[in-house]
Amino acid sequence: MLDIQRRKAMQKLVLLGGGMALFSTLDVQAKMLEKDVPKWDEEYDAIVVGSGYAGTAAMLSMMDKGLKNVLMIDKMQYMGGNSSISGGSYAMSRTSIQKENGVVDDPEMHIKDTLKSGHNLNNPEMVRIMAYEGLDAFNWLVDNGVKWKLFSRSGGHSAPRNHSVGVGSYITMPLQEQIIKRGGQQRTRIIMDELVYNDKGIVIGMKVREKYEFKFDRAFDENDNKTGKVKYYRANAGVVLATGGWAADPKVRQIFDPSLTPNMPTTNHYGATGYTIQKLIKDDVDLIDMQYIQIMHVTSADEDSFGFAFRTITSGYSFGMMINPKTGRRFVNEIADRKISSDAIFAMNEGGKNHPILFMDVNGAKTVEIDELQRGIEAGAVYQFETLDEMIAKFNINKEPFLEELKKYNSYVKAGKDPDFNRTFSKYKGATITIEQPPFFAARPGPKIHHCMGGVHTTVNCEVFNKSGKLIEGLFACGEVTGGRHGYNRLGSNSVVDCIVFGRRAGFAIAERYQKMVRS
Amino acid sequence: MKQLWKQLLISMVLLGGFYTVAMAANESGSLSATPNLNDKYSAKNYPIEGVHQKLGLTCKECHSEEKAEDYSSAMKATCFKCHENYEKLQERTGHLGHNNNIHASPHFTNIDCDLCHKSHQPSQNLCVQCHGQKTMKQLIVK
Repeated sequence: MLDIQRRKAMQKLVLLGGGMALFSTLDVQAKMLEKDVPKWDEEYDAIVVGSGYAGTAAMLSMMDKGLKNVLMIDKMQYMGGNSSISGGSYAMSRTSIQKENGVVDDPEMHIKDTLKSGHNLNNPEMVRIMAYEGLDAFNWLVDNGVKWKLFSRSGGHSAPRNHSVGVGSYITMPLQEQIIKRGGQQRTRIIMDELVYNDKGIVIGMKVREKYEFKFDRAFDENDNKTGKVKYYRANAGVVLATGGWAADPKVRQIFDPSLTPNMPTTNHYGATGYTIQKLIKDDVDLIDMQYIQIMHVTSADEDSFGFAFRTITSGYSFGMMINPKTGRRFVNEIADRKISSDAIFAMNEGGKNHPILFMDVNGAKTVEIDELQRGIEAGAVYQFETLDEMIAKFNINKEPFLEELKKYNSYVKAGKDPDFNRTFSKYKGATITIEQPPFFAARPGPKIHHCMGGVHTTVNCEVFNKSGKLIEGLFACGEVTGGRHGYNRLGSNSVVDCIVFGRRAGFAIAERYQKMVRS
Repeated sequence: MKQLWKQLLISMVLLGGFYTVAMAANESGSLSATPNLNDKYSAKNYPIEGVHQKLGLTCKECHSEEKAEDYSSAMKATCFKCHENYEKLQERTGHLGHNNNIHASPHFTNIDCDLCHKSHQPSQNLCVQCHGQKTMKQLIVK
């Protein structure tokens, strides 16, 4: 009797085990399908995920083309992501501001600079589009309420072509005001968990969580954040992904570049995690150039995140000199691009124990807006010295070789040639600037992880490729989440151009898809 | 043989049942389903302090959602019933100066109050996450 009972029990166990094995395989199925959606809670003509430069440009552009029932979502409790806290600088040739400043420039020079920094790994057609179409996009921003305030030169650019609004939110906010004015919808605290595909593999909507509470803790894995209520949104013409980069995600960034250790500082806001990009990998989306993650050197080691000193430091690279305090000597071309400069700084800063000193004299400092200079001083990231001796004492600079190096530097500026590092000296109001007249202003550059050059592989119209080289219908991507525009390394101020130009293209492309669907 | 198939069917149905219940529990929000819902959202579990407590405010006076399990801390509209609007807030913290006026951020307009001000958790300063000047770090968030 006992034997039979035991056998029956064993049979039951085996069946249970088999049943459990069957259910566990359901986890492996990556894509969410239409048939798995219990019901659509809301319906839109198109949905944009992310509300920074690219998302906002895509949203307003599709509305320009007549789409009305459209929604832009952001997982954070605020709009704009990294764009809101960035420098808001747009690199473009042939603008009226350039002409006013007497600058000679053209798109071919811009393209050459971009490809040089990108080590020719950029998609050349995309670079060409940015350099040429970018002027129209620049003027479109002005038409929508954006006001350009500052003009400068950024590392790696052969001419001054950087137009800044002051801070990135001064680009995203006017555009968002237009969106609201014209009846578009934008909502925070909504995170996209899954794209939903129909049986033909076309993106037709998404699974989201509303009332999502992002947790402000860099060590916390966003995959463990279970807050929010699940809803399903239909997106008839499809979805535009503009979710940005993952430079603030200590786990994901290190997968693609092992040298980016978890304790390295970043300029990025907390929300720049790898949450979406990981989902896209699971959905068989093709990614390119993922190993190229930029470290930026316009930030100060004496401040957290992007900080206040960056405008003074930017000017410093144009009109000042940078030295290794231990040797007293220069060690790099100060106006080189971010990759060359950051590498050079890492090579000498002894893991943060020997920060470089970048300094200008009062004439150099006059190229910085006075409120920006003072902000940097108040933050303890910009130092003011009445004499060079004070500066030498403060930073323990090797005096003799330093004074010799400074003399050499000034002679190079006057001769217009730098035989040591091949630097080209920038002009302010028609003249170059030496370092001679006190007071002197100094900062200590500290590189921070900043931008993901790689990302989603798209066409020039922002249509997304899958890993087999086929287009995923109904899916578009623009901004930092994409790859191919910048190659090995991105030039400063080219990102805003990328986001606005390709954001607009994504908006136009999805609008066209919608018109085609309506006509058929 | 028939017995075997019956047993397989039963175990699969049971497993399916457990699986869907587990999924539902995960998706219903940050707090997993508990047998006695009323206890979870009591005033005892969510106390308030300071002026709000002195005024004797109840849950419904701030939270506008019907069900307690749907409560979100993003409730600017309710806050502004007493705290008026952003312009007034900017004025009140205007004395902190241009670089420290937390209610006049150039980055974010009209953000929800709960990004800094929390009633059931300690408040936190959003700006100081990036801006580390001493004058910002010294601010007390109520």
